[in-house]
Amino acid sequence: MTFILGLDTSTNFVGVALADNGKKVAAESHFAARQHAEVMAPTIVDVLSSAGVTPHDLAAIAVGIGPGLFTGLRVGVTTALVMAQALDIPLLAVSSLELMAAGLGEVTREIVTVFDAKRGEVFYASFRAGEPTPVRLSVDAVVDPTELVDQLMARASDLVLLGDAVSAYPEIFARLAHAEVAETDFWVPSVTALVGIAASRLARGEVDPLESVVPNYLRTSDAIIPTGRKGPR
Amino acid sequence: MPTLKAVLGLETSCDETAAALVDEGRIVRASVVSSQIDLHARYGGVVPEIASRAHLELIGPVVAEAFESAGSTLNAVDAVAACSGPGLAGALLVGVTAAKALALVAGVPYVGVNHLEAHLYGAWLQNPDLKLPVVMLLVSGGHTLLVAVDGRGKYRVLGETVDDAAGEAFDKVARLLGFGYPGGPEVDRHARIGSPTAVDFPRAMRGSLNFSFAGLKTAVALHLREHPEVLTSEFGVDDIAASFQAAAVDQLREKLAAAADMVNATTLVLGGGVAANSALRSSVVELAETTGRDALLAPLELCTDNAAMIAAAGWWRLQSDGPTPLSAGIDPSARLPGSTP
Ligand SMILES: [Zn+2]
Repeated sequence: MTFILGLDTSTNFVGVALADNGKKVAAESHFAARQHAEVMAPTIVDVLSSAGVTPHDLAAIAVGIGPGLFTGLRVGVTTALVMAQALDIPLLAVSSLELMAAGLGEVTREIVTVFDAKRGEVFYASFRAGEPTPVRLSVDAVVDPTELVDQLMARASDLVLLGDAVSAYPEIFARLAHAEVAETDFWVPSVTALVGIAASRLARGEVDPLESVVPNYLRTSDAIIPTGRKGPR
Repeated sequence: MPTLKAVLGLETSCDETAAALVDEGRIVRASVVSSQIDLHARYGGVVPEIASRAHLELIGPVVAEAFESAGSTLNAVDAVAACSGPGLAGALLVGVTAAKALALVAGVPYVGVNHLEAHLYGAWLQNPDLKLPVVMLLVSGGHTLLVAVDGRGKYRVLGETVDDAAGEAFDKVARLLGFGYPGGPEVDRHARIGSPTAVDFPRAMRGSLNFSFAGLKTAVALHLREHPEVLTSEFGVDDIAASFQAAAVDQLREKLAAAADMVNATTLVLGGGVAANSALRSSVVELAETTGRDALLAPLELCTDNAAMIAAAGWWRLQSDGPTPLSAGIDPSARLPGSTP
C-alpha cells in the first residue's frame, strides 16, 4: 500500500484526495471562499477516516502549488509542508493550472486554462492532453486577458477553454469563437489527477525538497501595496 | 482529559515567526523566534503580504528548531496551540493552519489562543506565583492596553489607545527624525544623549485611563517644521528624541499609576515590544518602589512576540475551555477574552 494525500486550495474550493498506488480511494471538494483555513483540516480528517487511514499510513503528500489566490493557496501549501515535515515523507508540488487541465481527461484540442488573478489579470497556461500528465505547451504566467486573447486568436488549432476567467471577462473570451468552453465543473484543479500525477512522479523518484516548495505566486510581494498599518507584536 | 503536559505553541500574528515547547504552562523547554524585521525595514513598517510569505517559509524550520533545541519530537506533544488573533489575517492563517496540521498528524488537541491574553501569560511564565491583583501595561507596535488581572481568565480592560499604538508613535517619530526602522530602539538610544526637558511636548488624555499618541506625534512634526535646524544641529535630534520619549513615558506611567491605585494592585507588569524601552522600564520600577508594589518587567527576549506565551496560554485555555475545533478560523480583530470593555 502506498497512500498519497493530495491537497489543492488555489481556487475558491478546498480539494482533498487520497490514492492507494495511484488509484483514488477517497476525495472531497468543498466550496470554501475565504474559509480555506476552516475547511482544510476537517476535510483531511474526513477523507482519511472514510478510508480508515491514519496520517502515519501516508507515503507522500502532494499539493497544488498555484498559481491562485494567495490567501487560500497558502492554507494548502502550509498544510502540505507541515504534514510532510512532521511525518518525514516526500512532498510533491504540481501546478494548479496543470491540475485543471488534467481534470479534463482525454481531449484532442489544445487546453487553455485561465484563472481570474484579479487586478485585471489572469493566470494562464496551455496544455495538450497526455497520460498521466498533460503535456505543457506554455509556462504558468500572469497576463492581460485582452493580450492573451489576441495571441490565441492567431492560433489555428481549436481550443478548449476552462477556468473562472472565462466568466470574469465574458466579452474578451467571447472573441474566441472557435473555442469550446468546458463545463464549470471542470474549472477547479483536480485533486484526483493530483494524486495520480504524484504517484507516477514518486515512482520515478521525483520528489520536491521541502525548502523548494513555495506557492507559485507569479507576482512579487512588491506588487502588493503596503498598507502602512501595523499589526500586534 | 488525558494528562496534558507538553504544549507546542506557534505565533505568527505580525512579523515574528515563533515556535515554543512549554511543559505544564510554565516550563519553557524551547522558544525560537525568527524576526522578519530586515524584510520590512525598507518599507518602514510591516507589509502584510511580505509577512505572510515569510511566515510560510519560516514556520517549518522554526518548528524543527524548537524540537531540536528541546531534544523532543512531535510524538511527545500533548497539544498544539496557535495565536488566532488579533493580528494580520494572512499572517495568522499560516500559524493556525500549521498548528492544525500538526495537531492532526499527532492526533492531539488544537487550541486557538488570543494574542493579548498570551501576553498576560507571559507574566505568569516569568513568575508563576504572581501576586494578584495585577495591573499590566501592554505596549507594542500594535497595542496599548491597560488591564487589571484578577485571575487566570479574569481581566478588566481599564484603558486603551484612542488612536496610535505606543510603538507606532515611536516608529513615526523615528521616521521624522531620520532614524531607521524599527524606530523604538533608535529613539531610546538618542534619548540617552538628549535632554528630556528641551521641548515641552504635550502629555495627552490627562484624567482618563485611555491613551493617545497622535497629538504627540503631530506636536513633534510641527516642532520640526518650525525649527528645521534641529535636524542638523549637534544634539538636535537627541533632544527631540529625549523630549518625545519623556512625554510618551510620562503618559504611560501616569495611567499605570492611576490604574494601580484604582484596583489596589499588588503587582505592576510591563510587557510588549515597547517594554524594552529603558526609560519606561526605569520609570515603572521607580513607580513600584515609591508605591510599595512589586514590579515585573518582561526580560528583553519576552518583550517581543514569542510562542512560549502562546503555549502557556494554550495550556491554561485547554484546562478551562477544552480544545478548539479544527473548523475554527482566525479573528484578526479579536479582543481580550473574559474582559469587560
Ligand atoms: Zn504582541
